[in-house]
Amino acid sequence: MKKFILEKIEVPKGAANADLIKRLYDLGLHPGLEVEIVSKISFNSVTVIQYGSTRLALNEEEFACLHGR
Amino acid sequence: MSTWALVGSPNSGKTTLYNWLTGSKSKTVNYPGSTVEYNVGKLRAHLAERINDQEITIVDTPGVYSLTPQSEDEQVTHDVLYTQHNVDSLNGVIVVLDATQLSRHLMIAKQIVDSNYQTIFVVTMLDLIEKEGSQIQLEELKNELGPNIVLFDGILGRGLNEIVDLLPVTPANDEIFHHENWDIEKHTQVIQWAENLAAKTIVNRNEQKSAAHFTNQADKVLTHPILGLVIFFSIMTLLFASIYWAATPLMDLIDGLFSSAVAVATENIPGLFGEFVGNGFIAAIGGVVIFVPQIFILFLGIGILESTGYLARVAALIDKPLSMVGLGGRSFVPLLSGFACSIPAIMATRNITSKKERLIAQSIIPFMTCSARLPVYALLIAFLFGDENPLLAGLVMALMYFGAIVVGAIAANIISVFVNDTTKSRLIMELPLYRRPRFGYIFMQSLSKAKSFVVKAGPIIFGLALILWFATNFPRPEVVEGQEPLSAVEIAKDSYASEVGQAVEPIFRPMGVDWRVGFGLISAFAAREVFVSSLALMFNITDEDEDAAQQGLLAAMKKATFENGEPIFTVASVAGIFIFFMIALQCTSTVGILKREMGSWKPALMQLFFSNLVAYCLAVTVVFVLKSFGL
Repeated sequence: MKKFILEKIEVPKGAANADLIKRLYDLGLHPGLEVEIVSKISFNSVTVIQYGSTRLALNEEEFACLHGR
Repeated sequence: MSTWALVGSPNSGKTTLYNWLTGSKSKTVNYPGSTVEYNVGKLRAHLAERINDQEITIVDTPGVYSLTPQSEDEQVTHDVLYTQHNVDSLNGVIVVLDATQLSRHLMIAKQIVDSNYQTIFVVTMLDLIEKEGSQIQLEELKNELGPNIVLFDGILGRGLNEIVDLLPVTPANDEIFHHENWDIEKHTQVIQWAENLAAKTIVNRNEQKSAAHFTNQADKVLTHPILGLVIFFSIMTLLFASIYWAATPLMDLIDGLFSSAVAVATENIPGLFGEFVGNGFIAAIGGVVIFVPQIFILFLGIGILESTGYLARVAALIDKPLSMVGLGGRSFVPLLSGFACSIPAIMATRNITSKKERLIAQSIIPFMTCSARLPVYALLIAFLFGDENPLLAGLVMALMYFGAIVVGAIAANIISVFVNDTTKSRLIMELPLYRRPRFGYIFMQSLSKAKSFVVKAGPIIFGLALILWFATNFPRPEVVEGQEPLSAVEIAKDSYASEVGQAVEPIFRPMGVDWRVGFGLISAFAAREVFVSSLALMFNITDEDEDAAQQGLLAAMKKATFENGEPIFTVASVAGIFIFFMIALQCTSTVGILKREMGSWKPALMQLFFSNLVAYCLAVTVVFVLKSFGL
């Protein structure tokens, strides 16, 4: 399972969805947070991530907003 | 009297607290202009005694991730807090905070504090915190949020009295500030504040003992890319089998009871009034009550899956295939249920949070091959293949199921173009900790859904059933004294429905059928399976034994001809009827429930019109093509 430090939360170029970014923050995601990729499900299109006690399922568009190293 | 709203994130234990405070006697209400439901109830009498029997109303608002709404559910909570159209003026807010997710839930707490509401903070999931050996230290939390903080155990009810004692304090604050939309900088500041505060509040955490540890282990199996899908399909098969098979004995029982009641009424009340009471009134009530077992079982199943935390996983597991037709994972259970019956399935779309997805799901559920279509398909397949080719018969039946899915997918794509909502389908789903379901509560909730169906959709279905009874039983020719009473066949042949069937025969002719089949198709609007009995009525089949009646009907169908001697039932015309039944929205009960769930007659009637138009055009095309091949 891969871990990464979240550097920024940003919509990929060309997409426009400010509400999505806000919702990711509402769910406690923020730059500097350690995030673990738990699994890829639903024919590899959904990513399950874990941070603290929170486990989230994100589709491709949503996961693409999380940039980290 | 005072009113308090319960506010918190989804899965925070809000509804558990609501049930402890109000008991089972609560009222489920729809917010004006919305299909979102929430509960309103009075504080239980024995709890009210603690505070001199003061009358206190509790409002259980839908779960939110923020007070800046992004879904219909969140809009309702926002409106309860800030516009209060549908609730009495709020005296205060009880903010529910899950101790295992404290840092995230503190963000909602911060938003409520900033709104200047009088607030009680209730920290839940004590059992999980105690199980993992962690401690809760409230000093820092009280410094930041104020003194009204109560620890609450949802299993044993510990902390309930302390919450009640805080309810009747000072009057509501006069000035309430709307929650400002936070920018990213403010958001980040609040998250860091919440993380620091949570770390000082929940101490000595042991990851190995935590409930999250069990969830992580279970998810390795339940959301495994392959094994997870196998388990998912097994659980869904079990749920589907339950609505299909477990409901059947209960439905048969209800059917038997109402049939007896109809017989008692028609035999004991003389004349037309007796017929109205029996075949009209009592039978129409039976037509509503018959759906109750399926609705109850479906909501019981969904309730169990949801409260264990598995339903969120289902939505994530099946997201990809459904997103291809503009739907999300939450649509899967309602769509699957549609293969048993559209009525409970359309009611189950309430669990879909996106308005667009809900509308698409509601629109395509009637295409799924419900159990009422099966007697029709069985008759038509028996006509085409008899007993000689069971393999081909099975293949055609499978084709009808597959065809329904394809039609549903095409319809979903078409509808999504017309729905005025440009936002992309969103998954972003919290996968909660696995919990043991609270069977008592789920049982009561399922009963409440079934009751809500009877009270709210029942009158519409009842009214439509009465209209159809009238159309198929009137006008009555004069009976001369001494003459035998008219048989059902004679009444039906001169009825308004029959007149309509004959008048619109030119419409049915391109489908390759005559007015008698047309009458069957019109009668099927009462319920699809009525097509078979109507056809039997039109072809004078009077055998009481079911098998003999079917054989008699098949023989009559084989002999039936137009005036010019050409056979009515050919491969082409039977294929046309197949297509019509696959696509047409004939079930008036479904139209009734669509009206109820969509909120107005317009979309329900539009769906009725377009489904039947498309079904008719396709049926005519198929008949034309097959006839040109000599079939």
